[in-house]
Formats: sequence, structure tokens, C-alpha cells
Amino acid sequence: MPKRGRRRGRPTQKRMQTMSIDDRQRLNQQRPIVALPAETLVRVFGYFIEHERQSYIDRSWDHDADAEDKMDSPCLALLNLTQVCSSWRSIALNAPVLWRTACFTGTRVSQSLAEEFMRRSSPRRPFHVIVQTQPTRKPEYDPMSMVADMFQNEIQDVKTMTLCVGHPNPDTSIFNKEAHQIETLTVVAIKHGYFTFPKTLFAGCYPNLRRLKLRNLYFQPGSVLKNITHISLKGIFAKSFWDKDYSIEVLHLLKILKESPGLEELELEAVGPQVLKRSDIDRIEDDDNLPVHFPVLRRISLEKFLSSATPYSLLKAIRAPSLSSLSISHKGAADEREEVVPDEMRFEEGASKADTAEINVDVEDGLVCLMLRTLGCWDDVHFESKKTDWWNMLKWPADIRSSESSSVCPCFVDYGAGSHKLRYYVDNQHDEQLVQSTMSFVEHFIPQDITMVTIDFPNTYVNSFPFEEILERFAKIRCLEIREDTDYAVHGRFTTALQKIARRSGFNVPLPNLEALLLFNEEWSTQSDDGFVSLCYFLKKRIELGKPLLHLRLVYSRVSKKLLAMLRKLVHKRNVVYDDQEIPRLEKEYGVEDEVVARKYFGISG
Amino acid sequence: MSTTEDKTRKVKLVTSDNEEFEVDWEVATRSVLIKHMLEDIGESEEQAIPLPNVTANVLKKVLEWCEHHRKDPEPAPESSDDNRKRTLEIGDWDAKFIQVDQEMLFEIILAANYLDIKALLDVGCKTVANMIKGKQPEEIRKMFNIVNDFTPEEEAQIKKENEWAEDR
Repeated sequence: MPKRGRRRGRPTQKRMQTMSIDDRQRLNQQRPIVALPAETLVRVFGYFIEHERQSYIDRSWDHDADAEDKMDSPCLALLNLTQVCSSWRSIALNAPVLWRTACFTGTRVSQSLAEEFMRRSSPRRPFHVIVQTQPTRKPEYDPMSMVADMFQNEIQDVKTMTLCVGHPNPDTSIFNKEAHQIETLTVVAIKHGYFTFPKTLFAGCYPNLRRLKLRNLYFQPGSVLKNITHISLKGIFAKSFWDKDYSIEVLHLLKILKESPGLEELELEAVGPQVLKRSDIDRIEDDDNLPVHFPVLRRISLEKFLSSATPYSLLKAIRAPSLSSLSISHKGAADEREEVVPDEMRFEEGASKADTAEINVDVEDGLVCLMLRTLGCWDDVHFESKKTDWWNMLKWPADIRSSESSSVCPCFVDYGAGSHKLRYYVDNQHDEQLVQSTMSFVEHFIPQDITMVTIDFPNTYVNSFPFEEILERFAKIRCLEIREDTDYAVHGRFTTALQKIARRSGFNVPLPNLEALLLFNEEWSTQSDDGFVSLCYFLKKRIELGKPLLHLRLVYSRVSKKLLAMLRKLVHKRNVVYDDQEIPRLEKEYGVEDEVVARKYFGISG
Repeated sequence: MSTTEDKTRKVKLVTSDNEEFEVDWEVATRSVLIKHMLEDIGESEEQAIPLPNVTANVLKKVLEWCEHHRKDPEPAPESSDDNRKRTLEIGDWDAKFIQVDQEMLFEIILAANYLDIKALLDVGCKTVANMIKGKQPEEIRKMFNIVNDFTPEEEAQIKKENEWAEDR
């Protein structure tokens, strides 16, 4: 690689004015980024453009009629790149692959821009077509007509089509043309009733269409969608022969889905009847054509229903042996899992091999999240990690491809990273009711042989949590992490449960498989604090019966030096780790001058 | 297909500033260029591979990446039309690895391009794309220390494009 001289700064404005174009271009050629090979810069631009296009499509999907933000077309991002310097402009203009998104917004000027893009993408044709009109601005022409006119008999080369329509009754003749290459279609009507989805899509010929997202549209009776693998339907209603709109029936929906046996992901939001009568449910359960089997369906998301009846009926009518992610949200109350998720709906078989589970209950938000993961060989896990950051509490074996090394905290690093996930959101449910119904979800979705469990329970207003039931059910737990993120307001619920279990165990070791315990936000200052007494009782019993706990870690806690010393005597090889990360917070709270006092009080060595 | 013998084999690499690096075969062959060169020279273990376009400090950094990714599967041949996987996301380790000054970043990209290490090239390109994201032309110029060097004809064309854009 040729050696470059020392980088010089930008010339001053004054010097710039006196420099010729040639001199400026020569100056730019010395800059490392301009000196990159053209194909490498095209690669950079390609990533950038694709990101802009994807995020535009994502925003279109969620765009509301009353949203004030005007969405910039991804085409503008490309124009920006060509306006940086002469070299970038030349490289971009000579790379047709970058110009393959044609965006139509309904103004004559934007039409010229779209035509310019198409010219620059020549000899290839547009790969991605975007239509976007704003409800606040009447289009000068119907961009849907222009897209239709662009293709004579069939839609060639187009792989993705995003139609975000903000005006009523658009020209839908584009759907009458065959689309052999299309893979992804997103259609969003900014307001309900702007248009009705065609009965037959792309003249019935779309052999490669796999991803379909539809929002705020009407379905006609007999609408057919075939061989789709990813379906997202949001706010879809049905339209009768007499033009009357109504909620799409569950059986109608299932009939449509049935035509896509290779379905992998299904998202339904506020689709179908919001309230189902018992007779409707019976009719679905008695239908001879049900259940519908989707052998590779791995993700189901049923959101924003008025009651649990519709999601229940849909799940009851589906068999998904590959399921790894289930998300449900509804209003109204449900006492037990059985009212929302039928017995037949379980995670795929691999879930039974998971060794780690996270139970996250957020009462304030009405949310229950369960997460399963398979991390590796437990025997390689070790606890001697005093020097690591507080979130790296356990070291796991090296076969985990984690971010940096093998040291990860399996439950803490990433809530979204579970191999199997349940997300259940219920609006307007009584707090205690949600906590109690959690147990029925836990029993259904978490395998009994799990060895590590994190319980994250950040609410202060609920007095009970089924700690005992969980500990008794999952008897093979070796590591338990309790994240009662209560900001010191409520204590001892978990340790009280430990004490009760120890009392009940008689001459047997309580929780004999438990080796490591990680507790968050404990605050003990005297020996008579309930939480401390309960924990000591449990630890003492383990020692007395010859099986002391191997590791105790107190995270974000306030425990005096004296009590820590007492705890150390009750754990194998005095293996109690007290969180050093307390210091920054203490400094913030007490001020730097009190740091020494804080260190002394909390038993933290300097 | 690599053999067990290959995996224990050491490879010598010589940089443009004459520094010699001895690395595992598995690490060195993350580079398609080196892999092909090794195939050309056959079993000769003594022969060092010259890398006249890479300096020692850059190679050291590149080898750090190769070491971390030594077990990664071979990247699939890419199709120019396949944009579905083209996100700007970078793994945590790679993101930390590529936190270097601009000069080193571009040196790594050039080296990855020369050595034909597609995955590393992608990390570099995505990093630059992330730097560009959300910025106006003048901000991009400022960031990369480049100046406006357009000819009057180009300026006129840009002005026209901007009129289109403003009326979108």
C-alpha cells in the first residue's frame, strides 16, 4: 500500500476561493476516502442506499394519516451522495445498480426525478418501486397509474413494491399485470377505505412473492393469496358484495392463510372480529377443515385485540410445530393461560433442551415475557468473576458466539436474544391477576429441567409473586438470578420464599441443586432485617446439611460490612461477591467527598 | 476443503515494510488471496508470502480480525441483486474492532479489498456507510476533509436535481 503523506486539514474559505477546480480535485484525491477503489465506494453507497430504503419502508408501514413528519424519499439520500464531490458523483452516476429505486410521489417534478433515476439505472430496470402520496397534499397525478404505465404487459424485474397511498381510489390496474420476479409487496392505505385489495393479485401470477404486508385495506370475498411465507396484516376489514364493510371472520382469515402452507411468520394486528361469542368459537372448533397445519411457521404475533377470544380461536385453529416466538396482546382480563393460548400451542421440540429461562413480569405495563435459551455445558460455567463488570456475572463456555468473549451473563445481555420467546401483553388487567396468571404461562412454556432462571420483577406495588411455586416446579435450577428492581422500596419477598422452602424441607437439603444465587437491590443494614434473616436461615440450613451454596452475588445492593462478613461465613469458601459498581452511584448520590465514608459503610475496599 | 494437517500448519507473511508474521493456516486463509497463493506454492512451508500492499501495522490489525473469525463459515458467493441482507448492523466485536481513526479505517478497507476478505471489507464499508447516514453533503465533506470541487456544469445539474427534490 503506498505511503501517504501527513493529512492536511481543509483549506480555509479564502484559500478555497482562489483554488482552481483542478487543484481542488487534486486535493480531494489525496483524501483516503476518495482514494478508495470505485467498486469499494459503490459497495459503501450500496449499503447506505439499502439502509435508507429499508428504513423508509419500515416507516411507511407505521405511518399514520395524522403524522406530521414528512417522509424523505430514499432517493434523496442517493442524490446527497452525488453532491459531495466530483469523484463521488462520477462513481455514483456510473453505477446503475445504485439507481434502481424508482419513487413516485404524485407531483410532476417527482415524476421527472423518477424518470432520471430510471435513465441512470439503464440498461437495467428499476428493482424497487415506491409509491408514496401524502393525505395532506392532493397529487397532481395518480402515481399508481404511472407505475402501471411503466410496465406494458407484465411487471418485469421488480423485486419489491411499496405502495403507501394517501389518496382515495387509486388506479389499481398494476395488480392486473403478471409479476414474475416480485418477492416483497407492501401496501399501506394511509386511511381506511382508500382502496380495496384486488381479489386476484398480479393476474394470479406472482410465483416468487413471499413477503406480504397489508394495512388498512379491505378484502373482497374470495380473495386469494398463495404461497406467502411472511404475512403481516394490520387493520384489514372485509367488504361484502353489497359494499358493506365488516370485520373479517376468523374462518375467512384461516381460509386465506391455508393457501400458504409454507408460512414462516404471521403477524396480525386488529384483524378479525374483536369480540367472539361462544357460538362463534364452537363453530370454529367444529369446522372439519381445521386445524390448519403450518409445518414451518416459527413466529406468530397477534396484537391489539379487544379480548382474548379472537387470538385464542386463531391459535386453536392452527398447528405450528416449529413455533419459537409467540406474541399476543389484548384488552380485558384473562385469569389463566388457557383462556389465551390453547394447550396445543407450544414451542417447537428444541425448546425442551433449553437450559436458561428468563421470566420478566412488568405489572405496570401489563407485560409478561418468557425467554428460553440454550447456552452450553453447565459444568464449564464458573463464578469467579470479581473483576468483571457487574453485568458479566457468570462466565459461560467458549462455544457461545457472543459479542466479545465467552464471558456473558446469559440472562442479562439481551432480552431479545432468546431462542424461544413468549410476549404477552394485556391491557386493563388487575396487577395481582397478571402476576398470578404468569405462573400458568411459565408452566406451559418453560421446560421443567431448566438449570438457570432469571426472574425480573420490577414492580413495587404487588405484594405477592409465585417464587415458591417456581422454585418447587423447577427443582433442577442450579443458578438463580432475582432482579427485584424495586429501588429498595420492597424487600424480602424472595428471601422469605427461600426461608419457607428451607423450613418445609425438614432434614432434606432445601433446593439441593441450587449452586449460585444472584440478588439485585437488596438493602440490609441490621441483623434483624427480615430479608437478611430469611436468607441466613436458608444458607445456614444448607451448611448444616453439608451442601453449602457455592456462590452468592449481591448486585446494586446496600449491605453493611458486618452483614457481608456474616454472609461470607455461610457460603462455600466465603464466595460472596459484592458489587463494586456501587461506587459510581454512591459518588453521584453522596458526592465525591463522602466516597471514603461510603466505601467504609458499604464494605467496599478502595 | 481444509485438512487436519492444514489446520496445524503455519504460514509466513511478509509486509511491505519487511516485517514477517507467522500465523496459523486457518487464520491466514480467511484471505482468499493468501489461500490461492498457498495453493499455488503447494507444501513449501518455508516460503513466505509477500504482501507488498499491506504495512505491518495494518496487517497486525487485519490478522486480529482473522484470528477472531477463524472459525466462521466461508461467506456465500454474493449476488449483485441480493440486497435483503444488506443491513448496516455490525456485530459487537466487529464494532469495537473497527473503532479506529479514519486513516486506519481506510487502510483496513484497502487491505481487506486487496487480500480479498469479504466479511472484513463489509465491516469497513458498513462503518463508512454508518458515518454517512443522516448527513448532508457539506457535513460529509467536513467529516472526511474533502472540498467542493464541482465544475460549473455539475453545479447546474445539482441545482436542477435539488429543485426536483424540494418539490418531491
